[in-house]
Amino acid sequence: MTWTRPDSNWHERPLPRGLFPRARHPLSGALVGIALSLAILATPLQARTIILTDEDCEKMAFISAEVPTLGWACYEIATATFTTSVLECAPNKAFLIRYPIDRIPAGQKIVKAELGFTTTLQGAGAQRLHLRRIVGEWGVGVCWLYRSQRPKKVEWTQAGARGVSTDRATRPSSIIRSAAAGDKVVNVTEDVELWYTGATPNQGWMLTVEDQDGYIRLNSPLWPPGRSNWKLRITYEPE
Amino acid sequence: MVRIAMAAFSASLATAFLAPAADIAPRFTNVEPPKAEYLVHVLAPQARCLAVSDTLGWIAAGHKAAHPAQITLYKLDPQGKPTGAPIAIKTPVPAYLTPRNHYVLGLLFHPRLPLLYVWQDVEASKADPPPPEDPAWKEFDHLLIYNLAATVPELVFATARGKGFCIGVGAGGPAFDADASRLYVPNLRFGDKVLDGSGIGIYHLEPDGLPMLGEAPAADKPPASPVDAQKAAADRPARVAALRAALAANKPIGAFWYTPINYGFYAIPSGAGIHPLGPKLFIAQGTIGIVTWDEGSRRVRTHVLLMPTNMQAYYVTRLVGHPVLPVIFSTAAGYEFLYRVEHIDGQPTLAPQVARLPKYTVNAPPIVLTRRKLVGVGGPGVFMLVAFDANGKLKEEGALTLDVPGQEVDGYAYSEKLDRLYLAVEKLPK
Repeated sequence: MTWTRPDSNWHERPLPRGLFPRARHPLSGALVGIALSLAILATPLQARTIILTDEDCEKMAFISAEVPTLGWACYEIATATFTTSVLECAPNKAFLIRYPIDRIPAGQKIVKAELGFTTTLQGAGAQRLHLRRIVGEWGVGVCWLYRSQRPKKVEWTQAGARGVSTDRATRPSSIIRSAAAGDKVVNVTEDVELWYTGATPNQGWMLTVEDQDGYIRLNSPLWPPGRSNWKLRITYEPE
Repeated sequence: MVRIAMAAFSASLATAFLAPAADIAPRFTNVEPPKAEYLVHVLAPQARCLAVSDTLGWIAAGHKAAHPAQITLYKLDPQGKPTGAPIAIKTPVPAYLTPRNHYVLGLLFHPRLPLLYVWQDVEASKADPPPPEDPAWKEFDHLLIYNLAATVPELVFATARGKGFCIGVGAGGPAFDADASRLYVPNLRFGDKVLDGSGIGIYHLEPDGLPMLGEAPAADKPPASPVDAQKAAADRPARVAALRAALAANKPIGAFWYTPINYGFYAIPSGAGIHPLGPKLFIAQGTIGIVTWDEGSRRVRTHVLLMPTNMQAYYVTRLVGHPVLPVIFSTAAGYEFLYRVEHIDGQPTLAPQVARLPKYTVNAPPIVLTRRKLVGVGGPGVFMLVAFDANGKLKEEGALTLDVPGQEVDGYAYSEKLDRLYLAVEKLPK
């Protein structure tokens, strides 16, 4: 069996109309193609876009106050039985993810950055997801209580990475309003720019639900429907 | 208009799907056998599993159903090479079960005593419809314990029969905890006529290597001191007689404990890789992922880590734990992935690392070549080795393939003492 990426048309954009005009003569299409190719070769690329997915991320976790020492406390499928098939976002839970943006070459300007993911279920009425930059290193053994446990245990300033400006950015990068389940796209240009320029160390984001009784279910990167579903699309160009 | 079109087209061209970074693509170098001086071929046709004893100097192969004998044993010379004539063992099976073939799923040597533990199974009934009560439940014993100190390997004890153990499973094997005081067994069965679920069982053992009688010792009680082989052998007849009497009286032996029916082990196989970490704390192969079982935790008794796989068909994992590092290596049988999962006291942390292999992986779990910092797994006609660093993190460089043409490489084992990789082969290479 060969491995193939699952289809996702979120990132696809249709080519502009008129790029390939209908040929009036058998040779006209070929001539247009040749002309375009020569023009492209002569014109330097102005912008480049990369798409990073959860497959690129070494650091991911789902933490919960209910199971404070678990790093993947995604979904309690039965009493005291947890699985990673979905991410159940509710108060006192958080999804942490860090994309490695070091693939962007030096000397670039971030034109646009968008984070895309899919929600599959949500509570009644409109729901809100808060996206915040994480402050400070986190790593092996991350959970509700600790930002890391190896080589030594380091606690969050406030459990659940809730320390304002010490564990997470003071204000949300975005508050995503969700009326129904489906694909979500979040403009994160400012955050990626901060990370790329080094103004702020890249420690990734945390996604939380902070409304009482709020509930949103997200695709899990550890289950096929969610694998490579978490996309960070970054367009950059030379400064 | 043409310039706008050109810009748009070039921007579209410039969209790149970069190769994932957390997923790695190790660069494999093929090694010819003479250059892999640590490699030893073991003539064991139709091998399903292999086990080596560093202390006893034995290697054992468990065979698939088609092979006339279920086990082949070789003595090893001081350099770790098989020596002398192979010893073929036909394991016991009730005569009324023929023509159903029986076979060995897993082998395990006691770390100190001359004992070999065998987990065997028998083909499922081919009757249509299958009988509501499988005749194999009556008298087919899955767990066999052989004494290798005898002139001819001698079956000293057999147990694990009944509808509490699955029949006709394709994978799963026994495992010891660190001091061989607990024997973990796979493929338990729940349900009456229909399989409701599977699980992992634990036999508590005495220092003589046989199941204990009575209650299990307290979890915090230190293990009993080892006994020497001579005393164990001298006491064995009385011990075995007592165990058989207990079984005849329908009393439990080994203070047998098992995981209750649960999501992590809801289908078979269960236990194609078991990594004990403490009393009733272990990581084991579950139906669709890595299961951490912590009986001592009220809040998280079971955790199932699903493997990041682009699933084209339903997949079943296989796993091995590094004996020292807090790392599990896992495969999804039939897929070309090798996973590395770090854990904190058994609970997985951060994203699994995924390595792409050149061929799909077979039924057997991976093995760890500790002294070489390699993790190996069999494939079709090849054995694949991926290097890891001091933290058990898989690396792109240093990966190797060893050709074993004409067969799926299912039987393999590693001797840490001798630094030998053993591969079971259908024919010895010239």
